[in-house]
Amino acid sequence: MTSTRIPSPARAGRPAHRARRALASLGLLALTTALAALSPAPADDPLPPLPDKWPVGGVEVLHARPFTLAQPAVHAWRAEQPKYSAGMVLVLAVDKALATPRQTAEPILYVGDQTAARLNAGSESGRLVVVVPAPLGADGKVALDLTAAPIFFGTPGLPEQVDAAAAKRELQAAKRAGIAPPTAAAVKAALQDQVAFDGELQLRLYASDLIEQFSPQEADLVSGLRAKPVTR
Amino acid sequence: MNHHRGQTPSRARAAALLSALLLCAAPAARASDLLINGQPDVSVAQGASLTVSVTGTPGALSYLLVDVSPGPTVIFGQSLPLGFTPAMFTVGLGPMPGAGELSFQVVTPVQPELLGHTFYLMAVVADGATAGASDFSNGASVHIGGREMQLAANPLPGYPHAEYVRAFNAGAPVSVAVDPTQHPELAGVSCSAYVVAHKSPEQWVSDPSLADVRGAPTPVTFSGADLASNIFTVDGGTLNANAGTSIGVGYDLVLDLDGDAQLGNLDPIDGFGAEAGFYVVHDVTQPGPLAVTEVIYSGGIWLGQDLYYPTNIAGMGQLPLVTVSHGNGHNYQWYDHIGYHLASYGFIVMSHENNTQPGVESASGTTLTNVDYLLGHLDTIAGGALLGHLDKHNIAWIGHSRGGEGVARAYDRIIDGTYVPVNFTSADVRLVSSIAPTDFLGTVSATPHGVDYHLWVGGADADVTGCASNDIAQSFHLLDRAEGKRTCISLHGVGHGDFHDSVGSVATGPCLVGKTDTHTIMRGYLLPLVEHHLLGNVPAQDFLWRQWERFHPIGAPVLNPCVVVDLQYSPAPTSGKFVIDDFQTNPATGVSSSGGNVTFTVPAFAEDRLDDPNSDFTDGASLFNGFTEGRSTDVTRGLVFDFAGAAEQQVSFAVVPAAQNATGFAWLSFRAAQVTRAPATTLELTDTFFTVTLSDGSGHSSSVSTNAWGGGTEEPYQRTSCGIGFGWGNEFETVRIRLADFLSDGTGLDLSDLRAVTFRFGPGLSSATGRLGLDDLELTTN
Repeated sequence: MTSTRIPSPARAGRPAHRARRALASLGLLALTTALAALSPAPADDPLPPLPDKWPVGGVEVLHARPFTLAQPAVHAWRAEQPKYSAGMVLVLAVDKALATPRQTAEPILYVGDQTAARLNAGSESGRLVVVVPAPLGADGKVALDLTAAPIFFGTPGLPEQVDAAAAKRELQAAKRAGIAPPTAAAVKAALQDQVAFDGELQLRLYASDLIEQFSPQEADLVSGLRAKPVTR
Repeated sequence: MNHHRGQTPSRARAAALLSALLLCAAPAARASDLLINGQPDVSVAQGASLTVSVTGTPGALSYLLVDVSPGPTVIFGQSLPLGFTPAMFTVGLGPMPGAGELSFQVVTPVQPELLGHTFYLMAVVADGATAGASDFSNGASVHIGGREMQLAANPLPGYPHAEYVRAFNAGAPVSVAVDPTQHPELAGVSCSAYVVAHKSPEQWVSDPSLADVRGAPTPVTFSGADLASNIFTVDGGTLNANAGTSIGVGYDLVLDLDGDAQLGNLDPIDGFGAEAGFYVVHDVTQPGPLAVTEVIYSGGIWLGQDLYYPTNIAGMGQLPLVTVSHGNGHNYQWYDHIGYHLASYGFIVMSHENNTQPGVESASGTTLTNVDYLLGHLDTIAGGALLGHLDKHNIAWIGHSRGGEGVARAYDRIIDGTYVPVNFTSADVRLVSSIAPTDFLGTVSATPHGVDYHLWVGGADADVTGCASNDIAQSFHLLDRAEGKRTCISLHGVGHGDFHDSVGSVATGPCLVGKTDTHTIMRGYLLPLVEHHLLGNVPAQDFLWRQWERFHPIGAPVLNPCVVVDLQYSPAPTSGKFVIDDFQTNPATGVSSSGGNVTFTVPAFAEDRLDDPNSDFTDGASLFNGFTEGRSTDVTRGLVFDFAGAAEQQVSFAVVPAAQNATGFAWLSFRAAQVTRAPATTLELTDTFFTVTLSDGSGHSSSVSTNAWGGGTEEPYQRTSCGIGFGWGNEFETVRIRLADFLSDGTGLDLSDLRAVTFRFGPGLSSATGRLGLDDLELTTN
């Protein structure tokens, strides 16, 4: 997108114009004051509180698309920064409070013992589009059995600081807390055919379609993901 | 110089005499003092009278050596404070009088070609105790200026009566102020005050004519006995402020004493130099004159960028770059208010996709890769519009929340060598600015090192809250880790989301400011910030430190009673400042970090880390409640004390010998904060003020109140939670007092012999009661 905005005319002018401008400024000031008086005062807009105890379940799978990548990508949501060539794109229904972005520690979303890479905020829709790296089976299918993988929000922190041991601890805690994997029926209803992407860029474009569909409030995110590539 | 005593010898005779002196020089000792107008270093106008004083053995022959270089030069093992260049000449002063002190008058020559030059002097007196030996004095210097003096000012209701400033808002009056006690030559003088378009010294020499921009000069008579009665309005607010893409139109203020409409050698001038006498600035909250083009594109994974640049960039030179790294859950398209504003003034702004969700390390990576990508693809981005027009060596990084920590970490990674940029270096990044940053990575990694660092903080932030319970949410940590120039703006009633232009304020607390007014404040502060740091704009600096109540952008939302702005400003150590006490070393309360004695009569006096020791702001046993400048691994420290009662109370810092000659400094600077929820604070919930007194070695003292410019040290934002009570975290505000302000009305204070800085409290001296934090007591040059 290219746009041009023309600013207001140059500020200073000839002295003869200054008196007129001063009067105009006074008028503008009065108008501004009147508008300010009519505008509602800014209201409290706090973040929704988080639970005291973790992990927290209650996540539903709405869409599950296995994929492969011809060009491996880095899973930045793990301390090991592993590369992956396959995985699953999920659309999850979650508690909006848990999804609301925070600058401080956020609850980390797990699918089994793997951190899920969140591609959108989901705070208004309660829908998260995520990527979960997974190995590829001998049959060429993505080896992620969602019916055996509890999906939950674990201890708040930074995903890039979560290593394999920490992820396993979180999964064990989820199991102890009785957080069950999605039912077979839910997975069956959500599961789509496996798709092959050239690389992460194509994967993200696919995700942008899902965000547009499931979390339409995030139009800026969608347009940002679809920004026109630079060409010579 | 025209010497009233002694004769200038011929060069040959001088050389012979000097040789003889030097041959007699071993052994030599420092038993002679040389002062000019009572100081070792002076700056004087042409035609000014100087008093030269030399001490030494009575009856001994004395000489004055004058050179163009300060040396030092080692001769016979002695380090002498003179260059001994071929230009040096010697003046015989004759025998020392019986009192052992020789004093004579000199008039500086009136020759334009000498303007701006400095001459270095040393006295040599025959040593009366040792036959054949000589005593050498200290070095001294005389700088020949025009009749440069501070003239452009705002009147003040109390002492020091005049506020000499660099920036005046368009439409505001400009006054000329003359202190007859410091400038007795002007007492009773009638003259014409000219406001002229700024000229460089070279331009003044080639064209000394005075052309008043208002059409005619203002007649003034300095008949008053003190400064307050010698302040006259010279302009009611008519001066042009249209600086195009810059800030401030420069003017020189001249007092034409002889009425010839020329800048004569005796005419005082404010602005004889590269810097103008004063600048008139337009409304910096309003857009600049340039049309702006915005382009959104992607260079690949995590390389989405929103670019803003002047539409007519093809006809422009090389422009500075400002980048924006957004926060978690934010979007790179949410910073139009920054992009359009700065681009309309000739900056290139690039806001980029920032990988904040995994964490700050990931975010720092996308800051680095996006800057590298932009700089490496100037030939293709926006059709190559930026090619040849982006100054790669003049970059500012702005980051918001996790992105605010990310930009500091990104800089740290370059310094640490864990990221090596392809298309720029750390030296190209001139400013790092964090908006409400987190502090996940802590002392070692979330640090901007020595780059100029700037911080925004919102008092109503409901995300990076600043509460004592969470180190990650305490933005001030990064400011206090910065080792270079530090500036900060903290805003009461502003939420986390108010800093971007999408929906949501993420704010909680009383008297919320809202997004519209926050953006107005941001525009009005951001432009001076980048103009100052990237382009060295002179009047822009005023916006970064002067009390908001006294000086703010014309369009600032001052009608909104919720708007409260606190500013911090601290020059880099490399600026030549002297730290009297930053409380980092010498933890004993009786010794400053510079080694001077600290005495106090105030109660509850303690030094410690500026880090609330528990997890809330509830008032309790700790004096350091409410401070969030550091975490347990940080070293930032400060001072806290109470004041109250009918008797005067003091905190006094002795100035060590190394800084007692304060004539080379321009400002006394410190930062102060009211301590939240302390009874001493809440009892009088308003700006607090106190008195600062300087004392010299001769018993002279002079005092200035910290509310002389309106405002004082702001009360804490009255937000609740984070424990019991009202009041959020402590917010430092910098107070800068011109050292010359302590000289108004003939106080007699000798700044070449400064011995103590004293903070005084009590009736007539301060607010009635308070608990104060104090830090970074410094003498600064600028």
